[in-house]
Amino acid sequence: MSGVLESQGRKDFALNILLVDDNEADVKIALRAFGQARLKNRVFVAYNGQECVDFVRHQGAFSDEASHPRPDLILLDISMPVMDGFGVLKELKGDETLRSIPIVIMTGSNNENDICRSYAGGANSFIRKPVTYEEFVKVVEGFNQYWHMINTLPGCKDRME
Amino acid sequence: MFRHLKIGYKLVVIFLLISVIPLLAISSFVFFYTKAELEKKTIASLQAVNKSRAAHINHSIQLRQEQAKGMAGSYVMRQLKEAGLNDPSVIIGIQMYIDSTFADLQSNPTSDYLNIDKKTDIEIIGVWDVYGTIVANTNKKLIGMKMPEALQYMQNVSKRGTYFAGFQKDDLTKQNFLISFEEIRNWDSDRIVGAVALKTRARILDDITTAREGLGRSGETYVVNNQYQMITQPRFSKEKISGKRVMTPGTSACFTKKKAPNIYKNYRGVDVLGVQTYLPDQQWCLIAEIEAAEAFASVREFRNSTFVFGGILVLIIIACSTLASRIFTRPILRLHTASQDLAKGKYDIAVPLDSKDEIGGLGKAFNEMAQSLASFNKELEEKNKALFKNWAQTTRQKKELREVNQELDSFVYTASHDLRAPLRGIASFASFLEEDYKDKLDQQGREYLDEIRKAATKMNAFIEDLLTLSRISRIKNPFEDVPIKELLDTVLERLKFDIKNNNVDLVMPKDLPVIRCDRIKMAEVFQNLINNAIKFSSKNNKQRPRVEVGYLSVDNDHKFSVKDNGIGIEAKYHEQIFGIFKRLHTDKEYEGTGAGLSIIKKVIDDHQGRIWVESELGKGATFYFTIPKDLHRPSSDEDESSSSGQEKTDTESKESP
Repeated sequence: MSGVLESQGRKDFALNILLVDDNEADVKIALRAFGQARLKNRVFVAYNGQECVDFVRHQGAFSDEASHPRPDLILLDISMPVMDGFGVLKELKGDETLRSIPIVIMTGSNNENDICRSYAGGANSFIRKPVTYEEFVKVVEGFNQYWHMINTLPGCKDRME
Repeated sequence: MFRHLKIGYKLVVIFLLISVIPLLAISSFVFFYTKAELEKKTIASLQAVNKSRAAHINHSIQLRQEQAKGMAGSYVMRQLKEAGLNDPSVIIGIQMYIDSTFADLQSNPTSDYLNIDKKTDIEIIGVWDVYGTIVANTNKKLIGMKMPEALQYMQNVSKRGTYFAGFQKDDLTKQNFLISFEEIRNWDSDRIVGAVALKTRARILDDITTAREGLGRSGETYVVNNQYQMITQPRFSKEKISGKRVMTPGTSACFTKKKAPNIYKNYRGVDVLGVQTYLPDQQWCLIAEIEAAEAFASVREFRNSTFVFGGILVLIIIACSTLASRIFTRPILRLHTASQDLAKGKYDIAVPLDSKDEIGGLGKAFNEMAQSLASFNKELEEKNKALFKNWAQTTRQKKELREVNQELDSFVYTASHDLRAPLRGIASFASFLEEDYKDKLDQQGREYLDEIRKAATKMNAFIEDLLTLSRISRIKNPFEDVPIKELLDTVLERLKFDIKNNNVDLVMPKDLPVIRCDRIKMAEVFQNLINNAIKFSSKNNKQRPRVEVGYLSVDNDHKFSVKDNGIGIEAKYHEQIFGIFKRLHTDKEYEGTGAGLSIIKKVIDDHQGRIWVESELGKGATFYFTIPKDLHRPSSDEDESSSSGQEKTDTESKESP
C-alpha cells in the first residue's frame, strides 16, 4: 500500500519525505499540494503508524531498501488505525538509530493535549491541516521553504546505518 | 504554686494551716514560759541549798575554831612562856594535855562536835612558840622542828587574834586539811607566847558538798578558793581533783562580785544552771550547779510530747481534711468530669444528686443545662442533616449539570474536529475540479463549485468559532492582577489597522484600574467588543465612527462600557444577541459568525460578572460588563478536563535537530 510520487526537480537534491496518513482524501490533497509547490521532493506514503515504522526499518512489505529509502523527514498524522501518531513517535524517538529523523506532526486537531503530547513525544514541529486547499498549499509551501531552505537536516543516515 | 493545686489539696493545706499554727503558737508559748519559770525556780532552790550549806560550813569552822580557842585558853597552855624561858615541866604538861585531849577524841569521837560517822577528823594537835618552833605535838617526831609556814601562821595569829588557816593539800594522803590556829597568851603576862593548831581532815567540806539533798540527780555543790582552786571533791569526779583550777563564768562572777549568767558551761563543759555564794571569812566561793538537761527535763518532755501530739494531730487533720475534701470535691469533680464530657459532645449525662446543698443545686442546674443542650443539639443535628441532604442534592445536581456541560463541550469539540476532515475534502476537491476541469465546465458549473467552496469556508468559520467557544470553557488560565491600561494598549495595537482604515474616533478613559482576571480572555473580550463597535459604527454613513471605552468603580464591581454610534439594536434582541450564532444581519451587511458575543459572555460569566447592552435602533449601542473586585476562582468550578488545558505547552523548538 505504498505509493511513490516523484515530484518535479532533480533527483539528487530531492528530500525523501514519508507522509503518514490514513485518510486517502487527505493523502491526495497533500500529494497535490506538494506537487504544486514545485520543489524537489520524493514523497512516500504510509497509511498507518505500523506501515510507517516498517518503512523506516525496512520490514515486511518495505524490505527493499532501494525503493524505500530512509526518509529525511516524516509528516505524521495523529489519529490512525493500527498504530497512531504517538505510537510512531514512541517507536522512532525511542530508537537511537532513527531518533535523528525529524518528525512533523500534521493533523486536523489543534487540541492542546495533542500538541503537548506530540512535543513531549519528541515531535519536531506541529502543523494543523487547513480546511481549504488554497491554505493547504500555503502551508506546504511554507513547510518546504522551512525544511529545504532554512533548516539543515541531520544527513547522518549512512553513519547511523 | 497554691493556685495550681487541686481543690482537695487546697482544702488539706488550709485545714493544716488553721490547726497547726495555733498549736505551734500555744505550745511555743507554754514551752518558753515554763522554761523561764523552771529556770527561776531551779535557781531559787539552788540558792536555798547554797545558803544552807554556806551556813553549815561557817558553823563547822566556827566550832572547830571554838575548840582551838578552848585549848589555847586552858591553864596548862597558858603556862607557856616566851621561847627559851620555858620550864621542861610546862612543856611536858602541855604535851600531856594535848595527848590526852587527842586520845580522848580518838577513843570517844562523839565528844568531837564535828564527828562524822562517829569518827573524829582531828589529825594532829600541835603547839608552836612565837618563833615557829614546835614545842609540843601529838606527832612526837615533829617536836623541836621549825616549820617555816608556822611563822606565817604566827604572824596571822598575831595580826588577827583568831584565825582559820584554811586549805592544805597533803601530798602523801592526797587529803585536804583544815588547820585552826589560836593564839596562846601567858597566864601572867597575857602576852602572846605561842599558838595551838588543830589539823583536821577536810572531810566536813567534802561531806557538805557531796550531800545530795535538794540537788536532784545531776546537782552538785563545790567550794573554790580565791586562787580559783577547787578545795572540795565534786560529785562527779572519781579522781581527787581538789586544787584544780576552775575558771568558769560562775567562779569568775563570784570573785569579781558580778552577776553570773543563770546558765553557763561548768568545769566539765556541761551546760548548767548555777548559783554562787561568796564566803567572805574564808574568801571562798560556794557554787551550786545543776545540769540544764535535768533542770529542763520536764519542759523538754513537754516539748517532745508536744511534737508527738502535734504529729499525730497533723496526721489526723490530713486524714480528716482529705475525707472532708472528698465529700466536698467529689460532686464538684463529678461536675467537672461531666462538663468535660459535655464539651466533648456527650449530652446524655446526668450528675448524681446525693446532696441537697449548694453543690447539689449546682448539679441539678447542670443536669438541666445538659438536657437542654442535648435537645438543642439534637435539633441542630436534625437541621444539619436536612441541610446536608439539601446541600448534597444541590451538589449532586450541580455535579450532574457540570458533567452534562462537560460532555456537551467535549462533544462540540470532537464533532467540530471531525467535521473538519470531510469539509477539507469537499473544499479541496471542489478546488481540484475547478482547476483540473476548468475548460470542461461552463460558467454555471464554475459558479456552483465556487458556492461549494464558499459554503465550506463559511462552515469552517463556524467550526472554528465552536472550537474557540469550547476552548474558552475548557481552558481556565490563572487569575492575575492585570493593569487594564496595558491590556487595552495591546488590544488597540492589534486593531490599529481597522481603526486607521475606518477613521475611528476612539475615546479612552483616563483612569483605568488594575483588576484580577484571566489576562488572555479579558483581552479577547475587549478586542471583540471594540472590534464589533468599529464594525457597526463604521457602516453609519452619516457620522464619523466613534467608539468610547468607559470605566466606573461601582461598589464591589469594576464596570466597563464600550459605546458606539452605529446602527443600534432593537430592545427585543438585547438578550438574544449573546446566544451562539445569533445574528441580526446578513453576511453582506456585516461579516461574522455571531459567536463573538457568546464567547464574551462566557468569559464574563467565568469571571462572575454580568454583561448587557443598552441600545435603541439607530442610536448606537453601549455594551456594559462588570467584574467583581474581590474575584477568586471557586474550586468547585474547576474540573479535571480544564486543568490539562492549563499545562504550559512545550515551546522549545524541535524542528532543527
